Amino acid sequence: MVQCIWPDFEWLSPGSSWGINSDPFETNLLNLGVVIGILAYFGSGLINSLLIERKQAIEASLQDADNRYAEATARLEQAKGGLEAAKKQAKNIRIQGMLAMDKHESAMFWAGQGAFKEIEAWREASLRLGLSRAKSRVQLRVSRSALKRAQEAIRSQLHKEAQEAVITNNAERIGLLK
Amino acid sequence: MSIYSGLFVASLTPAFQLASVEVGQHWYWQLGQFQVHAQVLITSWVVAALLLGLAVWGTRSLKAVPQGGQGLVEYVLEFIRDLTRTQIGEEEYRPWVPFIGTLFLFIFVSNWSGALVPWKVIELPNGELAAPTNDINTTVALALLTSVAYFYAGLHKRGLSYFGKYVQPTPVLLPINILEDFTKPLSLSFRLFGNILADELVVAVLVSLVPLVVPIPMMFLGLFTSGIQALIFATLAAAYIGESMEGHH
Repeated sequence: MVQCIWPDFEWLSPGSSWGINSDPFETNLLNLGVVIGILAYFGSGLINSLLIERKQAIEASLQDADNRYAEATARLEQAKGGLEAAKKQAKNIRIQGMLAMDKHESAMFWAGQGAFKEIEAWREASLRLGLSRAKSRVQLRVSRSALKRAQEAIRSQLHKEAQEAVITNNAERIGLLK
Repeated sequence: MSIYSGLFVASLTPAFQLASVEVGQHWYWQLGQFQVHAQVLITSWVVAALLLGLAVWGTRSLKAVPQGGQGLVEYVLEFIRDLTRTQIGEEEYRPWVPFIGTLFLFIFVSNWSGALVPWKVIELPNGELAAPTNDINTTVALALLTSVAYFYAGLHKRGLSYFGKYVQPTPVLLPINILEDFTKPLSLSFRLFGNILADELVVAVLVSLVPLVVPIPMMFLGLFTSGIQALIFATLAAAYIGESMEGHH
């Protein structure tokens, strides 16, 4: 059952009939030579032109890739420059913003202070006005009550003899005036 | 290890006997219990060596702007990548470029080696050297690889729901859809094999009738056909893989 898996090279044996056939007609050598010659002549030209064309296309695409790389690098540099400029601008804007914020803050502060002062002055004025009004009212009330008391005192103390004495006194004074 | 190998070989023998297809004269090597077509193996190795040589020559000093061999190899790779992308689609094509590229390059160089290399100069004990794709076993192997690839692609992408395509658009088409899995490798292998064999036969018959000049146009036609066949095989393989991952026809 077990076989040796190996070719039996019969042609190595002395009885084998290996050989070379040198008859050009039997082996078709002449026609083959012509065919190979024509094929080599035209085929090599065709293959060469194809390969040259392909090489040129590859070189062109490599050149194109290089150009694109250079262009992309330039764009990258440009973009980096733009980024730097934008960063600077952003920094400036931030500083200006801070300054403007401070300025605005102080302006607001001073404006608040002014308003506060105005309100204070207005309050003072209101107070003064209120005070003067209160004073005048108090004065009016006091003078009225004094007048009233005087009237009451006068009314309580006024009688015929006193009146006649006052009139007489006054008439004497008028008579002295002559 | 050898016991397992022997069992494996024994289990494969009936299938191998069933699958062996003979067209023309062959020189056999005995590989265990198998007989293999030595002339096909030799030319396949030559083709593989040529491709490896091209890959090494093209990639020994890589530069940003390709020179000489690198340019040629890159051009071929771009061609294969475009072909694969067109058939499989932008999202899924990338992992399939090596497979489709291998198919295309192997078939193309095999076909052209049959048309350009003077194999008849070397005489074998039996049979004669020719393009590897001149042997149906090679083309069947390539076609079956394609079948395995598209089944793998479909199952990997969609899981068991891949089998749902057999009842699409209607379950009535189930037998035809199943049949398609057999006709695809059959048509792929027979198309390539038939074209290459026919080319070489036509040239051989013409050479035997009129040895000079007259076969030359037919040889150029053979070169053209060989290139087209490689392109068709790779395109169809990529299309089948793309179709199996798509989800619907």
